[in-house]
Amino acid sequence: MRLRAVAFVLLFGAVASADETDEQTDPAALFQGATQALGAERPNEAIAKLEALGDRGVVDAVVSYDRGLAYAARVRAGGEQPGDLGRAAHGFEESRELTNDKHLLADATNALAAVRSEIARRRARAGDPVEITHGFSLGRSIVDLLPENAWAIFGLITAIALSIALIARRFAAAGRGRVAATTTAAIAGGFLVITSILSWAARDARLHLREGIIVTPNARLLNAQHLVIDSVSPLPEGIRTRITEETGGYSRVTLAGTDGYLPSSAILPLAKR
Amino acid sequence: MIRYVFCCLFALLLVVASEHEAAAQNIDVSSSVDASEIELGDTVVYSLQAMSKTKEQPSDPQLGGHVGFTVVQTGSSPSHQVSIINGHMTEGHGLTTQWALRSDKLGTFVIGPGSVAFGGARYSGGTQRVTVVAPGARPKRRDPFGGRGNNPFDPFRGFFQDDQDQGDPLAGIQTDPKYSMATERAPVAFLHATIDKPRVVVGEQVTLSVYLYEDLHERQGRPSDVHEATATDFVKRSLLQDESRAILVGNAMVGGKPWSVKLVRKSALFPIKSGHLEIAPMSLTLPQARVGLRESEHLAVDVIEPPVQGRPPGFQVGDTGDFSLSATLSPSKIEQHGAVGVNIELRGTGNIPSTLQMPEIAGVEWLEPQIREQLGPVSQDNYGGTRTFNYVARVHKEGSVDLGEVRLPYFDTRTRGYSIARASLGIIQVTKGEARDAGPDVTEPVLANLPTLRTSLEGRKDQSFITEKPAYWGALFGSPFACVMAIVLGDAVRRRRERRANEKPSAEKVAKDRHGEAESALKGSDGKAAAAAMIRAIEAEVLAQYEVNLRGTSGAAALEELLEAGMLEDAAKDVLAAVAECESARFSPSDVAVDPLRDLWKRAKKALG
Repeated sequence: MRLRAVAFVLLFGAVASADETDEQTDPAALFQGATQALGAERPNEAIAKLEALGDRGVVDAVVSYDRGLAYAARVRAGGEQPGDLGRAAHGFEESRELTNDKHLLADATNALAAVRSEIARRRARAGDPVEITHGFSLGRSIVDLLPENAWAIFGLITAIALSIALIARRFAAAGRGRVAATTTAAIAGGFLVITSILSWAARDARLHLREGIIVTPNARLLNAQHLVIDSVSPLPEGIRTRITEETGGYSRVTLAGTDGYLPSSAILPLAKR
Repeated sequence: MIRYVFCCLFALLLVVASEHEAAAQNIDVSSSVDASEIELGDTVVYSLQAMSKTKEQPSDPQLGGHVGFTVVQTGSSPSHQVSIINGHMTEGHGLTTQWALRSDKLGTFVIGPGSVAFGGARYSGGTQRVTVVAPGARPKRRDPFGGRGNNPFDPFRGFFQDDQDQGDPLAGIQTDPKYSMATERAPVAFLHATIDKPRVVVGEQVTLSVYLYEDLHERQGRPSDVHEATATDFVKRSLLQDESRAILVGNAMVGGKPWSVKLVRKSALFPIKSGHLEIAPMSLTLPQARVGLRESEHLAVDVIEPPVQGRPPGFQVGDTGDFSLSATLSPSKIEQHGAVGVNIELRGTGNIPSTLQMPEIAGVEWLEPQIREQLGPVSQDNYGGTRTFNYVARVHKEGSVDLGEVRLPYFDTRTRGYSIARASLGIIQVTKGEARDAGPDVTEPVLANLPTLRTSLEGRKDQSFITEKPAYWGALFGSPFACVMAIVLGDAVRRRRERRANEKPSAEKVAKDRHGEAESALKGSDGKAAAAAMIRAIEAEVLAQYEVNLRGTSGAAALEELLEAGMLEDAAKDVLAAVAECESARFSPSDVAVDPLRDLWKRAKKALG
């Protein structure tokens, strides 16, 4: 009986050790361990494993989504640490950026709304402004209406229409045909300019736009001398901001038309596809 | 009036003179030298003693003349004297100043008079005569800095030298090559800082040592205005028990001279981030040097993050060192909703973490721990010790409850790999019991309706973007542009053709065409047609060459026009004859043979050149 117990302990230890080794080398095993920990209401362990996945360069919409859930679970379990809500918002925002799955997109959007609602509720209790999302500029909103490739294809179609209209205008006899060709060319030309600008803007945003989520509660915006800008209220965690520059441990950010600096540790950059 | 002014000036002089005399009665100034005859290159010490009988301190000592000598050192020492005789207290302030002078020339020289300022005037202590002789002309004089009791500036006098040694008292002194340097960083004394490692990972200890080098030949004072070496990107911990005392670690040869080496600072630095991190210099001021500020070197450490490969989950960047965990649990049996004490001891060397991640067990509530620490320098210049976490866990479920284990992943600087310190917390027996309090805190539900988690990765699909292909931008703008260009070019070609078609042909071209037509007609059998063609060819050629239109003229008028145009007379006549013959043939009622016309054509061509 004692021998069996010793054998069981040794076997259990060996299995546990093998699992740990797998998790140190295999990202899939690490992800599996993270989801098991999250399912078993062990958010700290899940966070550690999901963050370790991020450290190893794994970028996946589901990893980001589960990481958001893990931070939210820690808040829900009462073990909240400062910045957990911001990190949860970061996970869901990143998942929305990365996913091609409309169901995951919907879930991440709902979860993000829940997290931001909680942040707003706390700020309302503290008497702080509850505006969490500042929205994008009009131009950015228009660019985001369609995917980059859609704008590109649309532009190509208008270019072809313009070409055909120009040729038709040349060969059409005077009269209705020529008027129709001229009108088509004018409209297609205008659309070509607009769609090519939007295609270029979408490409530029994909290549150069860097955004992040503020993960520090009530972060204060700083000026170029890294002194607090008194005229700007403390920023809520979970807010999305544009990062324009990073130097010396500080990030220059643009937020709702306001320019300033934040410690780089206060912002988590969003991964891109 | 003048007499009145002189009287006033005289009275003023008397007042000043009487004040000066009174002041002179309150101070005694004297001077002396420690030798009246020295060899060339030796030094002599000129001493000036001033003692006041009032509370005023003599000040601003000045050497006066010292032709033939160079001042190599100066030092002053104030004194305060109080004496009570028969209940009467007298107080005096003194100032003793010494100048060490090195002889530069042979001969007898006067040094001084040295003087001090007192009571608004200067008082001198007299001059001293010193004779400088050639080296070897007198028994060797002891170096005023070397012999015991001879050098008033040297705190080490007589410490390293025996009485019988007449040479350099510091010759043969034991030095440590470890501290030797090629050149001194500054005269008299300087600071020298070193680090043990120039490249580390975040959280790994870098040992910063700052040494004070002091020239054994120079008088040393107590440094002041000490500024510590700041290292804002590091957590700094002292490895010395008492930083107010410098520790003599030995002597070293610097620039061929012996220097004493004292350790003034030894610190463990733990970098908190990666990058090229700088350590600012430590500085202090030497009162005995003319330019007294001394700074250690600017140092920098290249800090990188520990490798991602093999990094265990839960590892916090900065947890670097060599750690071990142990845990004790008491009591081992409690009632439900009761509390159990868990004592976790984290010991080791390095950047010892200040928090631990406790295992998450359903029904077990961990309260905030009490932390005690015993940290400081440990063996081999490492910083470390013990940090003890006293947790209280409240257990809300019954039965045998395994509290799991506490884990601390860290980067081991010895093996340059990751390790995990772990301690099992043990199992407690929880008996069913009544709640002694309200039980676990029931918090307001937050984030209650979050979506479910995903258990399978979505995977990344390589996405291609049309806008990355140059052909796309070519097609986008190229196709309308190409259409426009094609239309514009087509129109241009068409217009050019029309223009060329509408242009009048030149006389030469007409002549050439008519010439060809005539040649073709002559190859046929129709004599009349050939004659007509010949006439057109000859007329066109004449028009082209001489600008004379034969059509509408004939006979003498035509000949005259041709001659006026520069045609030779014979040629003109031949041409007109050929035209006439062709006219006859053309309008002949009978058929015309071609062969005579060919001969005629040859003649006409010859005439036309």
